[in-house]
Order: sequence, then C-alpha cells, then structure tokens
Amino acid sequence: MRHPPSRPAPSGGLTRRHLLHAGGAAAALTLAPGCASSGSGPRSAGWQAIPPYSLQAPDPKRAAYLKRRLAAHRKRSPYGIEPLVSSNDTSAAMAKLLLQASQGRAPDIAQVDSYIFGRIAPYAQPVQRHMKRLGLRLEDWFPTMRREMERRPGDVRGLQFTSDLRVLYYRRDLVRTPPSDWDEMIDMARPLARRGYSVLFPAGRSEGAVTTTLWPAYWSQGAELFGSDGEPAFATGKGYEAMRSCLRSVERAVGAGVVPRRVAGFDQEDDENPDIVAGRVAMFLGGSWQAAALDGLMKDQDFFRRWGVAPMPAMGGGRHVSATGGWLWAAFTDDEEKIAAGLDWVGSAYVGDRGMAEWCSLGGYLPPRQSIYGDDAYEQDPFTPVFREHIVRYGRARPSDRKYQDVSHTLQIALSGVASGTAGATEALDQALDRLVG
Amino acid sequence: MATTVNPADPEGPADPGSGLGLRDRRVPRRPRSSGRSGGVAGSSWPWLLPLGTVLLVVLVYPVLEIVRLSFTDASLVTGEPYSVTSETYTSLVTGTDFRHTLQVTFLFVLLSVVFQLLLGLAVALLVHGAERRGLRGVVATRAVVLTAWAIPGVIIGVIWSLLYQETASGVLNHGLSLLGFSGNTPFLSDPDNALVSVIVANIWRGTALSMILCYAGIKTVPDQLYEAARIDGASPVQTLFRVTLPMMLPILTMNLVLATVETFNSFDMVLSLTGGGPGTATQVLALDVYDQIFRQLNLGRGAAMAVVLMAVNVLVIGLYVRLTERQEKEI
Repeated sequence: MRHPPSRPAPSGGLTRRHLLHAGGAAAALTLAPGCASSGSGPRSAGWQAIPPYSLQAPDPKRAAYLKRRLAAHRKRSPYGIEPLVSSNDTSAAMAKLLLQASQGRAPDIAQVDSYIFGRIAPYAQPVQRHMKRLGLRLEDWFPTMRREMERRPGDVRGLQFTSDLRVLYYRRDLVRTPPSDWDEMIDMARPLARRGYSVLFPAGRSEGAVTTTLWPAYWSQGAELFGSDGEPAFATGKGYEAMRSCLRSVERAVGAGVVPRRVAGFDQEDDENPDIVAGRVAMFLGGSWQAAALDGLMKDQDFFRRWGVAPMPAMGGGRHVSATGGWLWAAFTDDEEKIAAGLDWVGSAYVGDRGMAEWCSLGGYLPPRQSIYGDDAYEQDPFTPVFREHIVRYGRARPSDRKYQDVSHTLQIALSGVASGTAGATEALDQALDRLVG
Repeated sequence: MATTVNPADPEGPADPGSGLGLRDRRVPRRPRSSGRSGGVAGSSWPWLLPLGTVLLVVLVYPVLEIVRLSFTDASLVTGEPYSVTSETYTSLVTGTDFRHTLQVTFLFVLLSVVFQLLLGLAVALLVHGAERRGLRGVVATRAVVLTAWAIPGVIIGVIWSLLYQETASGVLNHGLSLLGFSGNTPFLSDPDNALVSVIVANIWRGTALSMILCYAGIKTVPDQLYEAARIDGASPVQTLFRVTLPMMLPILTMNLVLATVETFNSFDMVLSLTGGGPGTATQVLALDVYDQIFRQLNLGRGAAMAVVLMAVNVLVIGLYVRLTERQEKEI
C-alpha cells in the first residue's frame, strides 16, 4: 500500500512535528523536578524501616505513635523526613540494603538487623559525634550490644534501639525445676508428652530458628562458629562434634516424640504461640518479646502467673548462653546535615530516653540502653528484670563474619532437615558443609 | 490449490499465469542497495538497530554478565574482592545438594506439567461441551478458573499454607477430621507430603493457563469435522482422540512448553508456602538461585545455578522449535 505524500501544513496549523515537539517539551517539564539538585527545594532525609517499625505498622498503636512523633518532629525541625519502607522479608531486605550500601545507594538513614550490621558497618557513617548532641552515652548500652555498634573501639557506626534474647519458658504447674541442659529437657518432657504436653522450638528455615535453637546450644560447648581466618569452625574437630551433638539433640527430641515434627515448619518463634495458647505446651524455647504477646493472647491473661523463665538449656554442663538480637539505625549519606536531621528523628522516636522507653513498651522489646529500665515511661512486665539479668550474664551477639549469612542459611536447612526427619544429624551437617565448602 | 503470495517479493507469484492482477499493481522495481554503494537509506540496519540495541542491553548483556559471574566466587556485595574460578561449577557437579535440588525440581516440573495439561484439557473440554449444549454458567466458570491464573504466586502460597495448616484449625485437616481422619496430617512438615502439597498447589495454579490455551485450541477445530465424525458414527471418545486432540496438537505442544518453562522458573509460590523446606524437600532450582544470591549472598554460585536453569529452559524451547518445524513440514 502506498502512503499519500505528506503535504505541507498550512501555516499556523498543527503538524506531526509540532505535536512531537510539544510532547517532548511536556516530558522534559515533567522530568525536570527529578533532575533538580537536592539543594533547590526544602531538604529532607530518607528514613527506611521495615514495615512493623514504620508508619505502615500493622499494629495501629505503633503506627499512631510514629505518626504523632513525626508530626511533632516536623513542627520543630526545618529538615523534612521522607519515609521509606523495605520488605517484610527481613533477610531479603537486609541483603538488598547491604548491596545498596556497597554501591553507595543506601537510604540516608536505614534500619539494620544486628546480625548483618557487622557487614554493613564499613559503609555506614560514624555517628559518635552526634551522640553527645542527642544526650546519649555509649556506656549506657549493654556491653554485648556496644560491641555490635562499634566497628572499632570508639568508632560507633549504628545506634541500637531494640534488643531481645532467647530463654526457656516452662509451665510452673508441670515443670517444678526447669531443665539445665538438653538431655535433662528431653528426659523431663517424656512423661509430659504422654499426657499430651509437648516441647517446642523453632526449627524452620529462618534466622530466628538457628538463633534460638542452634547457636546457644552450640556456644554453650565453648565452640565458635568461625575461626580466626573467618572460615567456619565446625567443619572439623571440636566444632564439628559440637554442632553434630546439637543436631543430634534435636533429632532425639523429635524422635522421642516430645517435640512435634511440624516444628520443622516454624520459621519464627511466634509460630509457637497458637499451641501455647491452646495449652498443649509444657516448655518452649522462645524470644523475650513473646511473653507480653502471649499474655495478651491468653483469655485470662495469666501467662506471667502460669509460666516461668529459665536460662537457655546448655549442651552438657551448666554453661548457659543466650543469643541476643535487635535493630540498629545507621546513616549512609555523607551529608552531615542529613545525618544530623535523620538522627534527630530516630533519636526522638526510637533511641532517646523517651523514644526508646515508649517504643520498647509498645513492641515488647528490651531496651538496649541500661538506663531505660529505670525510666517511668518504660512499661516492664514481671519477666523484664530476668531478661535484663540474662542479657548481662548469658547474652551473646551473633558474629559479623563475612560468611555468616552463608553459614546461617546452610545450618537452617540442616536444622529443618533433622527436625523433619529428612536427614539424620550427621548427614544434615555433612550436607551443610558440602553447600558451604563445596 | 491455494497460491501463496509474498507481498515483500517484488517479482510477485512465481506462476506468471496466476492472474490476480498482482503484476499490474506491482511496485516499480528499485535497484537493490548494497552496504557499499547504496548507503544506509536502502539498508535494513537502521530499522533493526533500535530493537537490536534494546535486546543487547536488556538480554544479551545480562546473560553474558551472568555467565561471566558464574565463573567467579563473587559475593553480592559490590567492591568485595573475588577471583575467577571454575570451582562454582565443580562444586555443583560434585556436591550432593545440587543433585538433590535437580531431582526435586524435575519431579516437581514433571508432575506439575502432566497434571496441569490433563486437568486444563479436561476443564476446557467440559466448558466447551457445556457451551455447545447451551448450558448456563459457562462464562462464570471460565472467569472462576481464570481467577487462579490472575492471583500472584506469593498469594497462592499464603492461601495454600492456610489450607495446609497442621492443626485441627487448618481447613484441610479440619475437613479430614470430619471424615474420621486424625486431623493432624503433616502436609508441610513431612518431607514427602511437603513436595506433594507444593505440587498440588502448583497444579491448581497452572491449570488455569492450561485451560485457557486448550480452550482456545478447541475453538479452532471446525464444527464440520465434528459433524463429519458424528455422521461417520464416531463415539465421543473416538472423536476426542481422532479429531479434537490431533487438531489441537500445535497448541498442546505450545502449552506443554509454556507450562514446563514456567514451572522450571517458578519459585514465588514455593517461597511463601514452604521456603524450600522442610530441609531441602521442596528446594526447587529457581528458589535455590534466589537463596544463593539474596540470602547467602553468593553471587558466583547463584549465577552458576542460574546458567544451569537457563540451559534447561533453552533446551526445552529448542525441542519445541524442532517439534514445531517437524509438524509444519508434515502439514
């Protein structure tokens, strides 16, 4: 088909070329604001949090608190705060943040999980000079958390604003003296299992599962996850035996019928809650935040009366270890004004005296700053003093070695495999080492 | 016999006596330009360049980059030192974990695709049959089946995890308890059950697309053929196997390839349903790639797995192309 020859447009009429020019100009005008330099309008700092810690928190109380705080902050600060929300899948969100930080694209202020902070810290800006301005003292943080916040002594790269740790919860009416180690726990649980009461621990494929079920038992044997060369220390020798004995205990607990196989699907400690509320559990390994949540979930709200708290069972001997966790704020922009503005905001809502007291009360977290425990605004539950003591006596942070994510993931698979009966302890550990070492 | 006319051919049909008046409407023949003498005006390159550039940037370059990274031990973190090594592939071949992942993946794909095709065909035949009989609710049925196709994989995973919940409060377990079973069936924590559960959820998900394609295929079968079969006294089963299925063969082949490639690449639903567990019972290849890169931060090993996944997909598509060519030759 032949196209008719293009005719010259009458003067003053619209041609296709005119339309294209007009369209191009409109597009340029639309995109122009995006190309403007950051100093040309009201300045703002990007603030990224995971959903439960953001304005989009599913808990209306948390969302209302943050909205109230942000409105107050906007009134007194000339600097704007631009809220950003990352994924609910914290492992993926942290991996993305690490990638962004390494490429210099991380948000100005971002929330970082303590287990990955060691890897992100080199890309974060020092914040110690702002701490004095915000009325914060490094010594106020628990020593185990202080070490996570510092890249080197005195070089603070993050401000931890929540913390937690793992404990053994037990029903007072069923367990008179809480077990001290895994063998004792399994033995005590056998008669209880016959009466329909089980023991629970998370054994799914998640960071929470290894942090609660595996690491404390492994560390209690004096073993380390990494050697001085940064390589996994459980590939051979004492470390291998220690890890195998942990997995064997899980295998034995499930095999004896005191722990249901479905714990292999428990990714988070909170997955235990429905069974606990239903009254089918005698003991469980869980997080400190669960106590307040369970008390709210139970009909008569008598969790603190019926349940007791004990140190995490050791793997032989009486050396208890508990894994601590929590979240930090870190600054990634090199603009000092933005850092100051961002830290002012997180200081007022999460890290400062009132902010930390209120936020930790709302979420059921343990304050990482010791002075907050004496703050009237911090609402403590009956177990809080015990948790605080456990942080000091047994608390231990996860290592920040380069291969931690790799090690954690492969052992999550091993733990889940053993709990589900897919593999025996030795086989699962060897397969994990295969995945790690190749 | 139909005459094929290629409008791009300036010489028109090969048979000069074919008439059709084409010779009269023939565009005046222009000298064929060569790159050397005619310049770019007569060349096809300016027309291919934009598409070629887009393909180069969004397809060829990423593929080459993935292949390059697969021969390194790079991590996801930019700036961290890495070395060039073939250890990534060696570890895949010698390690037991990757072999296990492949076994799980092939089982997952095989069972998913077979049942998706069979159920998709069955639903399409039912809908078509109902339509021919003038029954009501055909459109509603099609819409309901299509809904499964429209739901994102992650949501499907969440929906099925609620169905599979392993206590009496789980929908399926509650139903089973009403039928006299224990009500505690470990749908997701038992390794064997978990794989079956994931496959069932994936069949449910993929049957919709399969049904759409099969239904489209059935609609291409001329009614005269059914009429002829009926006059010849063919039974419904004979009509299905002698008329419907042979006529649908091209679309069934395409359905098979699409379902296979999509199932090989599927990871979102598995991620939200089991996360690959318990252990590695439901660890499919695409999920392993995701885990290696985004959870373990092993970009090199993850890239090597991605190359294997790509090779499998290329192989499936290559088979499809060969099969299609053969079918066209036979026609």
